[in-house]
Amino acid sequence: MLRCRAFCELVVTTHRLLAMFTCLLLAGCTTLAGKPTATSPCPFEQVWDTAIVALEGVRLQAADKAAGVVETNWVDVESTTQAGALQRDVNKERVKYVVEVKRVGTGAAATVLQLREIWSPMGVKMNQWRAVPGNPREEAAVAAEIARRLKEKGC
Amino acid sequence: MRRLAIIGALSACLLGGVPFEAAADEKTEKALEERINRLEKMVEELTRRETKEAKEEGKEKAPAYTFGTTGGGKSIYAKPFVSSPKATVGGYMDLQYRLFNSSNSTGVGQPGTGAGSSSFDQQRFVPFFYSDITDRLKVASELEIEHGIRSKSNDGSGIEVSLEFATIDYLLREPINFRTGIILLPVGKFNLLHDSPLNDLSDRPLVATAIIPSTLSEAGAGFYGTFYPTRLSKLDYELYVTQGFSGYSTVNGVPNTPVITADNGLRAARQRVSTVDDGLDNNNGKAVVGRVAFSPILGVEIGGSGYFGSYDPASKRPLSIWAADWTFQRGPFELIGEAAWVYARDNNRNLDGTFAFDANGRPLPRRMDGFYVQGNYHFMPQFLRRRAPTYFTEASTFTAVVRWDDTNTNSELAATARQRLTLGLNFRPIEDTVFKADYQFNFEDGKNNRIRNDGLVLSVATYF
Repeated sequence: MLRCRAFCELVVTTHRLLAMFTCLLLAGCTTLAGKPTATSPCPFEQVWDTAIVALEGVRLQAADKAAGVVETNWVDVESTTQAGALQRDVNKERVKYVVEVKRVGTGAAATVLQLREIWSPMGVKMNQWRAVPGNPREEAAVAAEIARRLKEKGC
Repeated sequence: MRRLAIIGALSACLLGGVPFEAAADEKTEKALEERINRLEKMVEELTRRETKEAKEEGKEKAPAYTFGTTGGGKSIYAKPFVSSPKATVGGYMDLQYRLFNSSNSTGVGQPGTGAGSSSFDQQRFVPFFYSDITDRLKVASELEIEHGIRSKSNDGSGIEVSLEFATIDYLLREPINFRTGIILLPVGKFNLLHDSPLNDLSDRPLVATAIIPSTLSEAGAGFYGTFYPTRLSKLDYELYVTQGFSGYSTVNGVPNTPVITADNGLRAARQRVSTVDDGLDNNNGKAVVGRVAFSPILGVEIGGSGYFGSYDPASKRPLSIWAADWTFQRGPFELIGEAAWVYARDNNRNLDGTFAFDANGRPLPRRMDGFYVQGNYHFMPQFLRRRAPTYFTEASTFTAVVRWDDTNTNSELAATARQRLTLGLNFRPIEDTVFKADYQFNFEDGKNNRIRNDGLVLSVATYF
């Protein structure tokens, strides 16, 4: 009887853990709602091409047209923080852009997400890049650039 | 600009001075090419220097991220002023003042107040060294000097100086990199982020000193890396083969004395304090240790870690540690914590099979467990910024902290359980410097009045 109860508890616990893990995993698949978006009456193909061209100069890690997702490699940028009490310029930062292009009616919309990570040689922080929030101004600037280029195309 | 003009004139002379007939000559062409390359390099170097000088003089500010009128968005692609030095030397130190009801212990591995009930303690002075040998090869280390004011430790053998970690990393790809050396063991998250300036309370959680005896590091080798399973998620892992615990030492001349006890937890079995020659292993068994941390979205991270090795001279008795850790951040709120379980098979028996007891007549522990949960709230009253903007800058923050600790260094007994409630407030003028004020309510076996050892801890810690 006790064994059966222990087994049942184990099954319930396992299911709870699995459910929690699934929820966490799905949380990572959330959309980019609320991020800066360039909406255009231009057809999907044109917005897709423009999004790629707007990211010129950065090596792309993935460009999945079927899924409508362009992802760049990590790019080192100037650090916004200084290290330690001496405020030394030894920290590093890197960013990666994800642009999601979706069909909206006859047109399309390109949504921009910036992933940002920082690294510091200070103590145990030297062992890992840490994720920090992306810069909303920079995200908006990329979206604005895509919109500008689309506008130039006159659609 | 003057230098550039000189270089320009120089290059014009060089190019102009080449005889026309020689232009057809392949060798001359090559020589010209080389000269041009050299000049280009010089121009580049001068431009870089001038930019740097201008920056130092404050004439030019680093460009914010913008897309120019030409479109290219070069500022994100260039690396403005990303000139990382090849080596960085720095460190961190702390100092604390402890005022307690008594000199009674507040937990395994927790700092004390000496013979009295109050004390100044310069607990840690930790220089560190980081070196980018190449783009792929890195060396990182932390050298810990504990209670460095002393010239002798309690047993007269010298002050406590040891390498907390010293690793050589060979970067292969983001998902897999090689690491070897003295490795900070990935058991729980606190051990990996144990530096005083990073923590919002002065004392480490009980679970991180008694159950996972931080700072826990061992010599070994293995791999670590990062995956990005979805757009917003991140998965970090570390996996190493290491030396392993040494559960038996020579104590007061008695060999094979068990050192995994309720009074010491696993602390006396660490490789760092092993009495085996040069900190070498006491058996042939090696340990395997690893941690996986999954962050589905920014601000949420769940980690699971495990350690499996043997601790006796014959490598017959396994020792395992399992740990879970969590971090949730939303706005100014933060909830962090860690739980750990230890199982040391047959530790309640001596090596000859008889039952083993500690000095208090209690059986030695086979199981230990513990956890802590900590809530942080970051804030900065705006009136302080308005009144004293040089003291309270954009980088400054206050943090209110509450933490509950619960451990038992022998899960089969109730008397070895300890709990603690800590209330704290700290101020960070900058991210890497912190002034902390904490008050601890210490409980033994669920009772706060059994040993009067509540107290106040004031401390400061900074990276430099």
